[in-house]
Amino acid sequence: MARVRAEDRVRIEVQVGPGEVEGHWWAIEQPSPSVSLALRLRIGAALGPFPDYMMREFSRLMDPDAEAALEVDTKTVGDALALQAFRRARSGQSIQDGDQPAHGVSMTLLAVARLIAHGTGGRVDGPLLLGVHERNTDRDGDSLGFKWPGPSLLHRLLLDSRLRYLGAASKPREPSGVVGEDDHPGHDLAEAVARGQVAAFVNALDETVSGPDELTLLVAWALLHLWRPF
Amino acid sequence: MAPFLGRPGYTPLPRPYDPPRAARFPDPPPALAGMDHVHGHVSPGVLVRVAQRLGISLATIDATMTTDEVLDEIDVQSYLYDVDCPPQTKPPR
Repeated sequence: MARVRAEDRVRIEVQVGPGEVEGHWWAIEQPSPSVSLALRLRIGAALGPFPDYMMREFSRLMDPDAEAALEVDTKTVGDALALQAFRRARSGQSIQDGDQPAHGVSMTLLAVARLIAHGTGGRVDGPLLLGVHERNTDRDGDSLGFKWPGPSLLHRLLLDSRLRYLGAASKPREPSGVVGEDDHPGHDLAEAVARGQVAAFVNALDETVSGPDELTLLVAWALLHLWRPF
Repeated sequence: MAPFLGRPGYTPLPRPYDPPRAARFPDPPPALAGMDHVHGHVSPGVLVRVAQRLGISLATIDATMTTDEVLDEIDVQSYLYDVDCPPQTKPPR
């Protein structure tokens, strides 16, 4: 019997220009057990309190006014929300309820992050986790303001999670996967994932995301998948 | 650091009086991923234990099981060990 593909999709609202907001569809899958266990060990060793920071970023972008309310809510019902999210995930449901407002989603993610972060200490091993980045002088308009000379653990996590970009339309659309015959904006990323090419994946990802904030959200989302029980 | 804090996993019985393992654990085979020991949380070679209990290969685990199913198996084994091998209640003489 083939392994059940545990997949999740999100639509991330990103600012692509002055006053211009776009919804980007993304999908990831849970890595195979041996890769999951190896990634948990290595990322866990480098992580420290990092998930909490990333979930806060997620929350801030999704709903800037909700920060204060989140602070209060997670103190009172944080663990219950996190466990509810785990149960939803375990029964094969997406962590995002179809009717749940954006504020609710960020609260859930933050609650999960806090439960994960609870009891963790130490400091973040930045170079191990994020890689060493350098300034990108290409200024070609499509790339981020920085680039990675080599992939990091978090890039590896996104690749092993088979991250896919499903476009910015009102509904998600899968890349066809046909080489040379696909004008889908997520085609290069899908091809890099299919071939398992880390360097190509990093380049394609940099050119697909709108900026560092979106990349941060994707990493937070993939980390949540790595840690939560599907 | 606890990699599996996000999951409500099984907590094994405390064993303060059990004699500690005298010899060191061997390093896992370098070609096999996911075998490492996470101190206090996952014993070394858990994937091999899962494969052994289920009578399947490591490749079959990756092909047919999700991570949470593997973690469930690890929990089952810890639980059964506690059932079958009760902890020592007195310090050794």
